Amino acid sequence: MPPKPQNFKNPIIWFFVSLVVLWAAPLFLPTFYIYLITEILIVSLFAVSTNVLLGFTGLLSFGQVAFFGSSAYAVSLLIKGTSLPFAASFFLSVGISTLAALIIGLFCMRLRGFYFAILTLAFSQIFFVVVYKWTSLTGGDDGIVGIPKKPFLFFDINGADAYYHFVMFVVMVSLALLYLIIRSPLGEVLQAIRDNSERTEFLGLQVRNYRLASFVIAGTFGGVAGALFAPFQGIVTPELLHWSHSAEPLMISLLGGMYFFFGPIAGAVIFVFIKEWITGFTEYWMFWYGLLLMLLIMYLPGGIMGFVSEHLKRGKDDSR
Amino acid sequence: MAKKQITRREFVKVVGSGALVAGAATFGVPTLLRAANKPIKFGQLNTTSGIMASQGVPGMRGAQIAQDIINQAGGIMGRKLELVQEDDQVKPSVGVRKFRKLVLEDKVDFVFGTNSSGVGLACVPLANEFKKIFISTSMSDKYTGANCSPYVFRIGESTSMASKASAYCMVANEPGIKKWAGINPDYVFGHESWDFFKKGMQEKKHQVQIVKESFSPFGCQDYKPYITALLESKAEGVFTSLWTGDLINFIKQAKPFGFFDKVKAFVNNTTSFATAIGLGNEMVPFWGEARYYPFYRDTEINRKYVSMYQKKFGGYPGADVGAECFASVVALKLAIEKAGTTDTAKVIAALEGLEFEVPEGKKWIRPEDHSGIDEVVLLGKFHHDPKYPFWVYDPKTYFTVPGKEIAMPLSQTGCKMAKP
Repeated sequence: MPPKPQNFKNPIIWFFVSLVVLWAAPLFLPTFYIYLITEILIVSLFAVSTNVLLGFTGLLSFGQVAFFGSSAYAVSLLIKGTSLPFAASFFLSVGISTLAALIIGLFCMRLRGFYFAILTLAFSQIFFVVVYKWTSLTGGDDGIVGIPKKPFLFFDINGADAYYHFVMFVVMVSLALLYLIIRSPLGEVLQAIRDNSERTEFLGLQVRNYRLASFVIAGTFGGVAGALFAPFQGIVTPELLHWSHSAEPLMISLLGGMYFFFGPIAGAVIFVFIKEWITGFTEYWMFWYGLLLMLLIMYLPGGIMGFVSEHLKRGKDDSR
Repeated sequence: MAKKQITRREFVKVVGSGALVAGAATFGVPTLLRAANKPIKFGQLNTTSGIMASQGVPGMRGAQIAQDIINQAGGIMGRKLELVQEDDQVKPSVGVRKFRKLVLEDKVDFVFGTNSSGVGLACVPLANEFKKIFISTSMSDKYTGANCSPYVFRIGESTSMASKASAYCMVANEPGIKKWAGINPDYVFGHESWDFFKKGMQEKKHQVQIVKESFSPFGCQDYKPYITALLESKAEGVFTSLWTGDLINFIKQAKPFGFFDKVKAFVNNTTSFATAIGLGNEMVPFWGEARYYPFYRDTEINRKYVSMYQKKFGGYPGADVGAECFASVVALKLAIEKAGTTDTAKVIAALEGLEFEVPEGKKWIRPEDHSGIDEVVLLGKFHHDPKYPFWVYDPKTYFTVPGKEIAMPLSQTGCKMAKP
């Protein structure tokens, strides 16, 4: 089904409005919040990419950190170990995640449901162990420390505001691409697979190939997020590749609403703020986050975006 | 005589202007005074959650005692000292976030702390980026090595000092043991410790055979595979740099194997006394090293530190890091007063070459590489003393090496200090 024109009109306006607001943020926000928003943007991209699988293809992957982490490590090693320009390191690292997603995807697509989730988890654990044990290359448990923010092409991105603008630009472009993919015929097929994969197969579509495509797309953009994250934190540690980190984008998607493109973004905003604020009072912030997630799943199964859109719809119905 | 009537308008004028003056007095003028009396903020990062909390919590307490002493005596140059304490969860990524928060949101003037060198070293690039002084209470030699920075200090004993002193102590006390093995945590501190222990043996021209080297993950739960491998290697002496929670786990799991009967000497280069307190009567007679040991020195400041700790928190200040955090606060206070300002560059200059006394003895900050050098490095062998509910060093076994003697010579550090 071709996308209806009115579906495209609003997002384009929203895209430019948020672009302008985000661009201007450093003018009125203190540096500390610029760091927070940078993190929210990166986490959003990671969550939205994971949600291409979870919400739009119906695949539960516990291994998305493999792509985020491999690209974060690749970009760090390339920045610190070679004299390549940052842009080259960046795209090379994203390419590595794409390749990794293609290879892992080829294995995992044979399986479904629970078995698929466990196999993705196993693959990501392989990445974790390699990074943890290969001390001479990856620094082992200490990780790679002091990753500089080298210029991207002609742009100096050193400094909180400059790097924020860089991240904002890359994340916005990536989100726009992901949005277009979800709205394209490919995206429509993915959603059909999510809703009823057997029926889609009967239509003569190669479900496995479409799922693989979705897996590679998610891995690639997860890799973009990872490559942005490493210079932002200035440090990468094996913790990034730990399986528990894979749960983060899943929880964010659930929180925000996994059937909505913008759901994970809303989830990421709340997730990062909770993490930042509650850790100020207690180290058991996960307890409070877990409680919030439980309440949301019990009372707002559609996540935050589900709740919002329900209310908007109701409002429209009333006015009619 | 007509009585002068005060009109409503005049009344409003007088009261209004009075209110304005009063308002200015309460909000305006004292604000200026308050700016001068604004507290000086020290940010602190230590581990207060997880199995390493037994080292981090005393770190926070040590700093709080220093804060109390300083504030009761009138603060620093008339300004109050305020501590902003954050938990780094022994994770470098969390440490980096918290460091950034301390500087950007809490707007602290100085940062100190960390239990793990993994966390502390991850914070070094941030100290450079924000141009903030960072005093490490963790032990890596890398703070003061080839990547040394004008903003970074290490307050006390380094890994090389503690590990080489352990080797010297073994050469002096257990010269007959030739077969050595190591069990160390698999991160920067464990690897450095093991290398320097072997180096210490070489420096004393003591010929030994290394029969087993093993590295266990930080926070390891199951040491049995390592214990059996160590026993199979027929090592006579075992060196370890496992600390606190890890060391307690190791000892508890090794005891049923008869490990401490089969191995003639077991020597640990850090946090030994905190381990002894943690193990209580399950302790074993091993050789230990701790950066701070409360019963060694009978000085006024040590007595005060111990008594304040007991009064405020109960128990003994067993953790090394507690005393190191205390020392960091004292060093910063003295340097600020010496510089007469909190200006970073001037405080750096004042810290360089600073000599001061803390509970663990006299400390000196070597100006060329910002390495804190203690009066002595102390080891001892634990024994049961009915006076205490935990094991203590047998005073007959005290083994000391002067800090200046064991500190890495400047020619070997590789540090070329830049200007701030």
